[in-house]
Amino acid sequence: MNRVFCRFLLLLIVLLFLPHAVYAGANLEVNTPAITSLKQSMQGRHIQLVNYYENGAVGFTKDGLLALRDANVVPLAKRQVVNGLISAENQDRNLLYREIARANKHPEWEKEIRATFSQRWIKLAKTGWWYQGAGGSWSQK
Amino acid sequence: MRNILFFVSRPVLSMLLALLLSACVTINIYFPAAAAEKAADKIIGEVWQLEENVEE
Amino acid sequence: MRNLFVTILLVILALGFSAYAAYPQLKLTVADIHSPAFHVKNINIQFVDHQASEFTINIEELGVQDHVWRNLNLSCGQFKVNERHIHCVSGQINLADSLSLPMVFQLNHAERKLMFEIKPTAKESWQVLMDWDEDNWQVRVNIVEGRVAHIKHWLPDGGTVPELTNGEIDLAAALSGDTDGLAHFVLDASLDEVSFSDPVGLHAGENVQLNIKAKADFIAEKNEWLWQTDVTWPRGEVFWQPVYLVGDGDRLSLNGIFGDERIRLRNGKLILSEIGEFEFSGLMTRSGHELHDFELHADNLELAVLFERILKPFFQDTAFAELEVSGQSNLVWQFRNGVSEHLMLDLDDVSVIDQRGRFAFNRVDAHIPWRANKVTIADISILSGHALNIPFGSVRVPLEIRGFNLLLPQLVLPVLDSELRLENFVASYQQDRWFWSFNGELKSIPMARLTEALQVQEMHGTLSGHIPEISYDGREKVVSVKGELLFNVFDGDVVVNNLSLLEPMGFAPHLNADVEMRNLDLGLLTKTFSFGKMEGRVDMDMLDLELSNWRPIGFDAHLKSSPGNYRRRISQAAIENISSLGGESATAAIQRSFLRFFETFSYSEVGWRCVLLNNVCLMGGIEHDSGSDSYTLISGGGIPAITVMGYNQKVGWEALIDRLKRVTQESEPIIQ
Repeated sequence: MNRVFCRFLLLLIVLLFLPHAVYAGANLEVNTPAITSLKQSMQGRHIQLVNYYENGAVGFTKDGLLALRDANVVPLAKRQVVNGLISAENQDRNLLYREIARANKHPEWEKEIRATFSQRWIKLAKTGWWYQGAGGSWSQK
Repeated sequence: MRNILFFVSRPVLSMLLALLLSACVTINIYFPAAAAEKAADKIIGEVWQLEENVEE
Repeated sequence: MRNLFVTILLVILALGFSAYAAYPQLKLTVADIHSPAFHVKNINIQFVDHQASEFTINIEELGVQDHVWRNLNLSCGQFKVNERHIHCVSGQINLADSLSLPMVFQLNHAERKLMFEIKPTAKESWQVLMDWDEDNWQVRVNIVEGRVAHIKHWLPDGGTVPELTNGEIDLAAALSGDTDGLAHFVLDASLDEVSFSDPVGLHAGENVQLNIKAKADFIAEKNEWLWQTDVTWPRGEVFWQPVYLVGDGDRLSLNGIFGDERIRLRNGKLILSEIGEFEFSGLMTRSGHELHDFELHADNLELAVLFERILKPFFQDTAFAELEVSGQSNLVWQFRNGVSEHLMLDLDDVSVIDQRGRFAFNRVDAHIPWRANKVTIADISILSGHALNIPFGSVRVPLEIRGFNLLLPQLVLPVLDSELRLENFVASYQQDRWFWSFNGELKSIPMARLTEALQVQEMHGTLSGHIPEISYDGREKVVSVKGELLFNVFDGDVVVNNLSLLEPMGFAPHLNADVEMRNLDLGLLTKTFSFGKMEGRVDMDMLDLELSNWRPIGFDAHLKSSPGNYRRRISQAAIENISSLGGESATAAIQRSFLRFFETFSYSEVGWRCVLLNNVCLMGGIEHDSGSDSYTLISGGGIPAITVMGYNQKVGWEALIDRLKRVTQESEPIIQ
């Protein structure tokens, strides 16, 4: 009897929350002003960063950020610039994860959003770009 | 006898109900992984200006 | 240190004598030598064939401090030997299995002289000359066009980090001493076109030229060394994470006393090209390598270059990463008995401009003294500046400093033809975080000037208000307001409650507040936004207002007519604009009817509700009729009366803002 009751209850609750669940399942809110301005800022920076993805100076970390992988391929005078780009990009990425979580009224999702992004950055990365595996070692796509 | 059973089972049942309620409610705050992936792809596509997105 | 040299000398002597003595026996083994800094194991000297045309010296293990060489092998195929003299004219030294270098040496027993030279290439020479008598000895080291890349191969454990990859060294060093050890030391070296790098390239240099002069004398009576070094860096680039510098005649001189217990630095001087000179002295204990005393003086430092080249990379992750700094500065730092005692910073005509446009301070002159356990008064004057685009005028700040606490009882800041009065400003620095608070008052600021400064829609009237306690918590990075923030605008009152601002200087500041506005003059409001004239008064609540990067992402807004008796008229243009906000226009309807003959209409009540969530504004009117999708925005009353209804309940926020912009920018109402 309990099984039947629980099933009924479950159904009821699922029905009750369905519109919500469906809504949450369909889309995540990513169109707030903060997210838009972060995207623009990252877009502008990508033009510069892409060279460093290609030559292997910069790689994607397992926590959804960038790291300096091998500075030797960058001329000395440019290493500070690369450092600056990485640091600015990481700042934006951290904010992006936080803002998405906040925009969806679930600040506690930040961690999962970061994890999702870290996978997707790597998944969508082009051949030849470098990323960090679970163990922390670098691999090339 | 039936009465006693009834009285015993009622608090048990209400506790169960409370438990179930709380258990079921957590379903709703599960992280929407698929949606997040979609959102991530959209943002990455825009930031990296991937071709798929340019066509959109 | 003295012992090391004695032992080296003894070993070389022992080797020399032993080899000489060993000749008739063809083979000799020398006993192991041990000393704290140095050890040698298993030395074999052997003549290879019966004619003794070649001899070899084998050392199983040679250790100098942390470096251990194994199987060192020295062989000489062409040599001259007599009673007084061994001269190896052409030999080889084998450092590792594969590394073999041409070598010559001469040992003159009678004259007590040894010369040892490695010549990896024809023009290169690494030479050691030694001579000695019963009491004294001298060593000279000469390196001519030595390639620094050798050093990595010659050192047994894979070399140094960062690794020297390229460049040449010329060096002349003279060491002398007696049986007690080394007593004098002179070095003159120049490195040219040197490159070095660690594996990831975070500490690297290219084409570096360095000239090094060093000198040291042992004062036996005091058992300490008097030393002096001078390094100049004429050119070459170095990246030492996170700083990148290009040598341009930069210079470092150090001199002092090196004792058993402490190192004293006297007259240290660092000259950084285009930045200025730093003079310093100090005392360090050798046990524990602790800084005991330090004193630093620097005058007329060029802040623009100092900030750009050296300080900026350290601010990379902070709000101050994108500053443009100019002006001059003097700096004094006194550190005594392991604690900072006195710090003084003078600023002379300094300007600090945030390149993201968040703030600027122009022509700052300041004298900021700080003393541990003493109250000091800093005198800071700023000619002008702005914060979040709101300009402020000349101000002089007498800031009281008590350790890590700052106090300012009162400050009047000229802001836009008016003033902001700050009171009871207190700031403290605890556990690497800032905390501050103040209260104050804002005296009628002309809205026209303020809106111009903020580059928003021009508004009229004045803004004045009372500022309760505003505080900043550096741990949470939140500015919060205790109590109500009161303003007067559009002839009405604005009360802001529960105001908090997260990361105000961050890249996406977040603001939360509840705003209640009472008795705003609709006439002023609509005139300001050229919305079409309305007369009357409104109350507006904006609860749970959340701004991200100064743009709204959520609120629950409710606008309604204020209670009371006042004239309530609305112009046709305003009606058209209001209706067009919902996406449809009433213009056509009005134009078709007799209503077109009236310029204005009277109304009894206005009401508008918008709950903004996820970029969608959920709209409502005076009161929502449950069961129907429509709502009343304006209810008519009097003659001629007009009622405006809304039908769209969900309006995209961006679309709404676009429409609002259009209706307020264009003088003609929009007809869609």
